[in-house]
Amino acid sequence: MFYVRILIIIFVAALMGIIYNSVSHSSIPFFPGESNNYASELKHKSENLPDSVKWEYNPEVIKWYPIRADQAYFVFEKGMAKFVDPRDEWDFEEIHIKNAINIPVYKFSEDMLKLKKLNKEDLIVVYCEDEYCDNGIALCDSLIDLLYRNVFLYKGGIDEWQFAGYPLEGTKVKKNQ
Amino acid sequence: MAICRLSFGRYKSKKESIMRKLLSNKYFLLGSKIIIGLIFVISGIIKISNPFEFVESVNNFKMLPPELVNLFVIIIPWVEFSAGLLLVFNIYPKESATIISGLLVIFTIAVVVALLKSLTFNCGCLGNIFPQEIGALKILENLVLLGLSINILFNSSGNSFEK
Repeated sequence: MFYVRILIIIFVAALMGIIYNSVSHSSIPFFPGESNNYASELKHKSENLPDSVKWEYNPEVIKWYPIRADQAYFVFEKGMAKFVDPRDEWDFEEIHIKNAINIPVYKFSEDMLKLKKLNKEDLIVVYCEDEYCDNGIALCDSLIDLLYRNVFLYKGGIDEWQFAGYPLEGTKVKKNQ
Repeated sequence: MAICRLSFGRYKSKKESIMRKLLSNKYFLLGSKIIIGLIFVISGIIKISNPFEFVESVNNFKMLPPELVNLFVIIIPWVEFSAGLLLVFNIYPKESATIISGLLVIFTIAVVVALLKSLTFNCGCLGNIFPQEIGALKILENLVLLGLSINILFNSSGNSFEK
């Protein structure tokens, strides 16, 4: 009976841990998935890059990091990151970075993040219209508050992306083409 | 010579009986349960509240395969918390003390292995709120707690419900 009780205590504790992790704000995946590997890959790549394209990135410190157009395109091309657009739905429909997710700042909530399947360990690149748009910073701050670990802000935004000729989607893009 | 041996034997047995009395003293046992229990409850809460920090600490030890780290981080703090809470309230103290002893053995082995690999870092035992570097002091601390919990295991009588 002594050992059975020990097993029961451990089992109940483990169950509580699993349930808590499923509902907690700061939940972690049960097994480190691809996104974790992406994070370590990004760090590793950063360490081996020349200074001109080095990332300012430390996965041990939870804060958002600025990212340039070439860096943003690097993670875009490799399919390493999820691009998040904080502008409203109408602007997003007109033009956005290919495969980007729209989370308008005024609609921001945890449920919205779950709905869009953004995980805490994902590499997230937030971009806005241009460098004067504050919605990108606001969204980055909100993500950091919820302990999203790998948040980057691409300040150049949609304007710079378009100027560089990188892939775009939207009704306005189709018309232009 | 024989008298000397006899008196030394008596002195030794007297010292042993005093030690035995102290270890089985109900107030000493109660104090041990509360101290160890609270340490594990606090340690559990800190780790539960910041799993990312605990993941980093576990990774620093480089002992677990990466696939098992997250599962360890999700489950172990709750085992610490539950066993500590049961011990504080004197519910199944022998069972809780056994679990805590097991955890302390695992933690001590981890610290010893890390030291043998010449690694130095914050062990994350109480999160980053109370940073503790791994070292001889940490091992000593764990061994004292282990001794106290083994004493609870052998000298504690039943649980508070049975009294």
